[in-house]
Amino acid sequence: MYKILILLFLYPSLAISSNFTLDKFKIEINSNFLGEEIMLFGQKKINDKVIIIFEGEKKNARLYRKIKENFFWINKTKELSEIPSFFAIFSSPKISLSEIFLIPGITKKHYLISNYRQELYEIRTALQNKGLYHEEELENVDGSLFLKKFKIPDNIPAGNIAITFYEIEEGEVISVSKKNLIIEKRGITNKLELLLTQQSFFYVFILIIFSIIFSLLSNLIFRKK
Amino acid sequence: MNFYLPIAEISINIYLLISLGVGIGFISGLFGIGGGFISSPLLILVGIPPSVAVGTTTVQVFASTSTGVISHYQKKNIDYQMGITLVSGGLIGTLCGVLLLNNLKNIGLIDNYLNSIYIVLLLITAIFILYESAKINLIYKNKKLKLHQHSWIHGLPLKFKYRKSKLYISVLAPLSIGFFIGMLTGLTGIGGGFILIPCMIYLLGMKTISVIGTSLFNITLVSFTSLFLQIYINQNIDFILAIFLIVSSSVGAAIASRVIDRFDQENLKVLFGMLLITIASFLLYDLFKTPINLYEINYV
Repeated sequence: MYKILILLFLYPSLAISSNFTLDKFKIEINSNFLGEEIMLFGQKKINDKVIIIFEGEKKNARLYRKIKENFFWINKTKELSEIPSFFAIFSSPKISLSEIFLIPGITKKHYLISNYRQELYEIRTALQNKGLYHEEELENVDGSLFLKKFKIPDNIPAGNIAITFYEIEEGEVISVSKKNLIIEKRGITNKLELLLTQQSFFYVFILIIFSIIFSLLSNLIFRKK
Repeated sequence: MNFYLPIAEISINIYLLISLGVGIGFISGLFGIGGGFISSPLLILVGIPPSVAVGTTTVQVFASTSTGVISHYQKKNIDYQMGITLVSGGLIGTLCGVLLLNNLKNIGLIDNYLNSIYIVLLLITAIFILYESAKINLIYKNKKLKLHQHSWIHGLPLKFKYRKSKLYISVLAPLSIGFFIGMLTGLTGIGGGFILIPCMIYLLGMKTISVIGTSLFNITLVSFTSLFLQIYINQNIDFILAIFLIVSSSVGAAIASRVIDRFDQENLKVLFGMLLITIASFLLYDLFKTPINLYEINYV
């Protein structure tokens, strides 16, 4: 079924060049958001290597490293800046991080996978623990066709995820194409966050009114006769 | 069935959340407590970020005490002079507590400190309850207990006459108690009634009739202030989580009020003490166990 889908989608460009797409380019975070599965698929020249990198918006972050002190596990904190909110590397055939470190065309553009440094390893591991970092191989469907299903977790921050498609030949980037995946909060989820950040007083006021009404109501409904 | 919590930024099973709320309400109703010091650690145990658990518990505390204070106002059971003194200390304490929470969050030690505070509070309360229960059962069953004795507190300066409670004591004592409880509210989200009430009876020597109303008056105003401070300084109150907790805990409390007569009060106290020790044990285990993930990242 995937094959038919891929062939239909890519039919106009089958003989032209390597390409990729997603089954959706917008994810809405609403009250029943549990994360979302994304399907990435495309085509490549049979002998070429492709690397697709998903990189979320860069934000300030804090990295906590747990260390044991007198029987207790405590956090050591480090302030970080420009850390992507999501990061995924998909390749076909499988290309390890050590190999990627040797491709300057990629490492210069993606700081998180730029070198062997321990700090970067710790950030990648911390993101992986939250489901925000993936490093996987694309499934090969028919020599030139590939696909991959992966999950965007429910703790994904809202914002754009830049998707960069690299075609690699003999360790050099020979072509690059870009697309965007938009993650946005919608409905009540979005309204509440906006209210909290922009109109805090009103947020507390509504909360207080709700609290009193609910408490009075439940006292009225459930009180012992 | 899961539900996405917009401020906590995680989805949580709705049945787990409702069960938790009903359970907290049931325990609160059964044992006559506000429930804040149980709900905060329990929310953390089910995966709510500690800062959000603290902020949201403050809403639950406010909701559960605000209606109570109205009822005590109608019955004229509030000592306003004492209440205002306690609240004055409480407001400064809350501000300190909220700022301390923010600082702990920033340096990444919130889990350790909050867990340690909860463990100490839960264990002290459990020991106190079990000791009191044992004392009543074994030693003083047939003796009348003397509630208040003169201590060093009554020798403090700046004495003031609290007419309703018929007390002539230093304002420093209720101010300090209010400050300590306020600090706990700001830092942990709890109302602190389980500490405040024994302090008012045993340390200040207040009459039992106005203790509950005055304590509720203090907790309502302090948690009300704490709500604003938490929102402005920490932005850690999850609206959806708060509403779920308020509604489900009200149902739990209502169920408790219908079945409470079927239980022996002294056995209930022992059960409550054991429950507190169990929760404290889980939190203690959390501090000692080797973490699954050595690295954690949070966006600012």
